[in-house]
Amino acid sequence: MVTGRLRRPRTSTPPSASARSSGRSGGRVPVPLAVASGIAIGFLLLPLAGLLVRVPWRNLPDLLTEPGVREALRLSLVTATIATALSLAVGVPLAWLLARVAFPGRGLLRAMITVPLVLPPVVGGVALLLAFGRRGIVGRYLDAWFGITLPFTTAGVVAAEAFVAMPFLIVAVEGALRSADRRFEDASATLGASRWVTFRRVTLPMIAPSLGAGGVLCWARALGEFGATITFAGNFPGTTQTMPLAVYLALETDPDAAVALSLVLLAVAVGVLALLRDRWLRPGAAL
Amino acid sequence: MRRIDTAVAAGPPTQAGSASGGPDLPGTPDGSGGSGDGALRACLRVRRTSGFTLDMTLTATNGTTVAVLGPNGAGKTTLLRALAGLQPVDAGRISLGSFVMDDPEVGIFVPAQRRTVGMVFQDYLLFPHLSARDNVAFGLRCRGVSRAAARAAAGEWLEKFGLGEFAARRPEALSGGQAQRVALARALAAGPRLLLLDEPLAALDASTRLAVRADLRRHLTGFGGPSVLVTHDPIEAMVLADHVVIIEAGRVVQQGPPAEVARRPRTDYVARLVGLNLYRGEAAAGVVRLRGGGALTVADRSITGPVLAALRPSAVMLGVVEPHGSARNTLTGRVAGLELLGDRARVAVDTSPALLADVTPAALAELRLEPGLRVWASFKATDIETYPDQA
Repeated sequence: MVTGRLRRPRTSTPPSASARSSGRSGGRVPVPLAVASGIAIGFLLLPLAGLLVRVPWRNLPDLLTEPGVREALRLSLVTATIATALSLAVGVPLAWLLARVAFPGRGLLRAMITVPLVLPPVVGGVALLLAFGRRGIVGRYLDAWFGITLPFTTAGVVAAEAFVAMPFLIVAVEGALRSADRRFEDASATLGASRWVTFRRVTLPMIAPSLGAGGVLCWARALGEFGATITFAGNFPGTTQTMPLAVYLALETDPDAAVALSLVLLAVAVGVLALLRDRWLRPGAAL
Repeated sequence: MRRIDTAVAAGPPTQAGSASGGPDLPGTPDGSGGSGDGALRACLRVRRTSGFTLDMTLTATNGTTVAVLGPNGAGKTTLLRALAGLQPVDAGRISLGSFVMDDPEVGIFVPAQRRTVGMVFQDYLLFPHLSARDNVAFGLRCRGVSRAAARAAAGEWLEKFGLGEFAARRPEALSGGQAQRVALARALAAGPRLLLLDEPLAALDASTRLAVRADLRRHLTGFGGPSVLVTHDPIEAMVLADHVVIIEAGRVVQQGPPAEVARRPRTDYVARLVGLNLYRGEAAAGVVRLRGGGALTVADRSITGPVLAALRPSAVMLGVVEPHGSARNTLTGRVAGLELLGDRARVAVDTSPALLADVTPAALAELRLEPGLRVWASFKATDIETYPDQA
């Protein structure tokens, strides 16, 4: 294809794509492509439709106010929020370190930190047990010296969620820090701002959108955490039984409750998407 | 030339044809103001990883503006970053009065935030999340001034800069000229002892540049401390500065009062900047034998040895027939190029030596000048400025 007179690319469309589409006249879609796309769409959307169809709308209020359900909902919200707060407290400094300080092994560390992103959560749970379990390499001292036990407690739930969700925050914040124009920090320094003031009043506000997106993403991931939680913290109503666990359990005993709980999680997911729509639903946008 | 002291005094030129011995700045006792002598003395060497080394000396007394002029990559921004404390020097010493800010030999490095050095960045770097007022108040807040007092003071600064009505605006809603003034107000509001300006007008379009430049001149005059301006625009340097320092590839190649630099360029780069023909050669008995071939008859018969000869393009007369006038220099060659510069045309002629001549558009039409046409160029000996070549 000769793209001698390439059109000025639109802001968000890569130039190659616009050149391709302008070279092909009209919008006729090849049949195999249409069929494959149709299958994909059906596969992705039908389950959600199925869920919505099966929602017992009439007893929904009762189902969602049932003590067990309310307990799971409350526990989920509390643990996901604490896990996000923890992630912010230690994840943002780590992101800053990764983005701003050149030290040996930085690349390796960055890679290791993102492992939980791709690790099967169950494996994460096993790993957490081996580290922080009562016989774990760290857990035994936590138990012996401080009397702290993480497994099968609410704190364990928080730990499992933070383990899985924190990398989302770190990746988002580190990316923002790396792409932020550091000369603003220079400007701040020439105005007499200490490094801390510069971070608080200049850097942080400038990365706020990414920080917010990373935080929301982290929170959503923590809210949906299942594998690591059930492995590391177990499934005790009131202390470790979060929403996803409750859904899984209810499916056996009370399918209507399971559907109702699922609806809540779906609503949360849609809500998160709506919050992040500017970042994700733009074509070509990246985290 | 390795190190030339940039002695900046409001007085006479420090080199080349001085008249009266003006006030010398080193050794001036604590005089002006309560904070004492805050003159900038910087002697610095900064090595960059690319292999480039900036090696220069710069001084500026209170109330004067020094312009550092140079092509891209000459080390201008590196110089400012070193003065601001954003980058330590590898060797040398930077001080403001008795306040030593950087001296690696004795292990002193005062970081930017404790230098009280104000900087106006090329693209201003106004904090995008703060209003104009909060941008200006930023420095005061960092000094521990209360929020209300800092905002009130910032409001006064903005009023002073004619920006009172834009105080609540975010930088994105300001025009280029407004943003430039906010950036200057922000730097000045923090009470700096030294003001640095990095290409302060480069980001503006031609029409606003004039107005902002006049404004900037006023504020620089009002600022009591030394200021250093870097630019690649000779007009900016000539209009705004009391002293011009020209650097090329990290070294000072020429310095002096703007008028002096404009009249007697020392390098081809400077000559191009100020729009003069510049020739190098050996002078003897009123004739300068040029290094590249050819000779010029000059008025100054006493000057001998290596000299520089500068000639204004507007002093050159062009004709299509050989002139028989009083002009002592007549050269012939072909037109090599034409360029319209507003109300005149600049003609490049491949005479020996090659020269640039300015003619009016009317003359251009009358002579039917076009590339390749044979022309005679003549100019008077008295129009050639000759001065010793010290390099």
